[in-house]
Amino acid sequence: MIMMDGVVKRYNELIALDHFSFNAQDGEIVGLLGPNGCGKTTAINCMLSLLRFDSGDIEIFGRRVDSNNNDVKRRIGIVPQELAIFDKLNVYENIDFYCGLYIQNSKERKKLVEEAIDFVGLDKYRRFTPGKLSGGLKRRLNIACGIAHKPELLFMDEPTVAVDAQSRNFILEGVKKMKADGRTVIYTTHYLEEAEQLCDRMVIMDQGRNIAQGTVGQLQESISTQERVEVGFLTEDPGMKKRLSELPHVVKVTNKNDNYLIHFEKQENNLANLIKFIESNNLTYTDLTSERATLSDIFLELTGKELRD
Amino acid sequence: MNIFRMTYYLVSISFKDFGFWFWTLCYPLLLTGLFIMATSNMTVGELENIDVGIQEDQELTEVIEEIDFINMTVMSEEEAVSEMKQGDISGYIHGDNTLLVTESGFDQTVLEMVINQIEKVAGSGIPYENYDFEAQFIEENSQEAQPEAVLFYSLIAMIAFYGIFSGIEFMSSMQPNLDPMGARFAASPYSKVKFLSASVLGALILNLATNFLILAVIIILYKINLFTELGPTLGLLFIANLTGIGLGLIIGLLPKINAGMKTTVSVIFIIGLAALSGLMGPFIKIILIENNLTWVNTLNPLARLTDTMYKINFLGNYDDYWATIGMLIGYAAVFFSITLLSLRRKQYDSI
Repeated sequence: MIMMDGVVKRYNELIALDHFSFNAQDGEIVGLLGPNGCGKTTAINCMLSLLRFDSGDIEIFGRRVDSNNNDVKRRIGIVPQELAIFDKLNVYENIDFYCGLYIQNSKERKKLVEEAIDFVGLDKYRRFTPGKLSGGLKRRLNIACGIAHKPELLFMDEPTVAVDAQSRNFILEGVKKMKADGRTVIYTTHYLEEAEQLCDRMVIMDQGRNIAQGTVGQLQESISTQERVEVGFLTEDPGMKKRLSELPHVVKVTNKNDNYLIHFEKQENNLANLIKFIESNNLTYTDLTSERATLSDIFLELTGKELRD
Repeated sequence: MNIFRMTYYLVSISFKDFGFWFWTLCYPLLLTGLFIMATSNMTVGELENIDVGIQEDQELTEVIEEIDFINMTVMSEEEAVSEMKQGDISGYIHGDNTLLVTESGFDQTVLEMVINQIEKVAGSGIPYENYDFEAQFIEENSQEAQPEAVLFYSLIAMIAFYGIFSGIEFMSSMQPNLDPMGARFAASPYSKVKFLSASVLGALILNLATNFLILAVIIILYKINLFTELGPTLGLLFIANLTGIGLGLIIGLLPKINAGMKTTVSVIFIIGLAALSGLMGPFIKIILIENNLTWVNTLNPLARLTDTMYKINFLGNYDDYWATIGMLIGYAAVFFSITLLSLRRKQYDSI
């Protein structure tokens, strides 16, 4: 559905997209992950043919992007990062306005607007202007304005920024429903837990480059840290960190509050080896948890920095 | 969505905006009130039928005879004094181009100015017959004689250009490099020509409505008859509205400046043009601009509009009516063309 190949976009000296490539298939939710300023929004704007790019190719629905191609535009929806709604129009009017940019027929539009209002749960607020809505409800309205015309391909740029937990869950469930309806969603975020929960595949971006892509499993396989074990001991031992780092297959040991966070390479018996170490040294542990590498670990290892740096 | 639905939404957006009402209605009404207080007892009417007596064989006889708004009668000084006492004539020209009056007033001021102007023309060596009193004398000097009228006409010229605000608002909100709503709009297949048409129609509806309200207040509430030629004046105002909207659309396109800042700058710009066209009294326009920077008055659409409204309503003179309409249409055509060409530029270097 989308093929982006070696796209370069410069703003004077700054390279916003550096030979950026990625693709998305029909019915997928693809996450574009990266810190603020990594080029996610620029990539979307290039795909939407809003931004001129310096080199590379972009195809959507098998056709090169072209700002004059209204047939392609008709099949695309956009939920921008900033709220793009009219303060002076109420919920219904806002959705009707944006839906009207795509749908001429007033009866069909009315039906679609009603469906969008139901979809985002704003029926009670249909006569409210945005000023009377909470931040979360405004975000839902922002989404409704982008999806009312039922696009096959939807670009959602950080749709859950500054949203309360209830609205965030509502939005995430909505995105899942859209996928169930067969729509393709390009979802940018810097909330890794959202991406893990939502996306079929992810593209990790840093400084305008695609530094890794794949499913969570594929990304986990691609890095050296495969497992993290957090352990806390009853008694303090200044030499404990060093002793833990000498265990087999340990990549590194870091402190996490009063506990130790041990990063292991991919091996079968990492936890068993640690327990054996604890028993043989007569140590009493207060915490012991194990988890596979998270997206945060993946991002940290690939870029050398935390996602929210 | 058809043009009318789009127009409805654009009108709704401005209609609910306090800023729009303040600048297009409250502020002009406030100015109107101030002008009314400052110019109490003003009775503006068409400059016509000033009756004057003139001594037999007086050297100005031929010239005065050519001036449409002066009714001249040859008589003796005694007859003239008697007629002036009865209020039948406003003055008597005799001797060495001297004006005899028994009271002072607007007619007497105009007659005095006419005589001064004729002497000035004679002094400069221009034959009297080559001098266009309608175009030159009346436009300049009678505006000095009736500064109140100029204030109101320049105020009306200013509000006719207030379509600029809606133009800025509509265009700024639909530019992806200025507003996130613009990204949605530009990414949609909606026709730019339809959007431009709806913007112009919406702005026109809003601004004409406020213009009519202000004119109604001036004519009905304050009972000032500024419009002896109402139809042609409304024609002028309609075209001026289009020009103002076109200017607003162009300003709305300017990158990297938000709509609020553009509106502020436009308010100052329009007030500046209005001041040059007589909003602060005709002194700036006539003395400073007309005598020193003639091209400013020629190019300033508000000055042209003020002059033309004054001439057609106050003097019944249509000499430059169509030229003014042509100039305003010309400005509007340039503004709309640039806007359409810019809107057709669908991709941006930065957003």
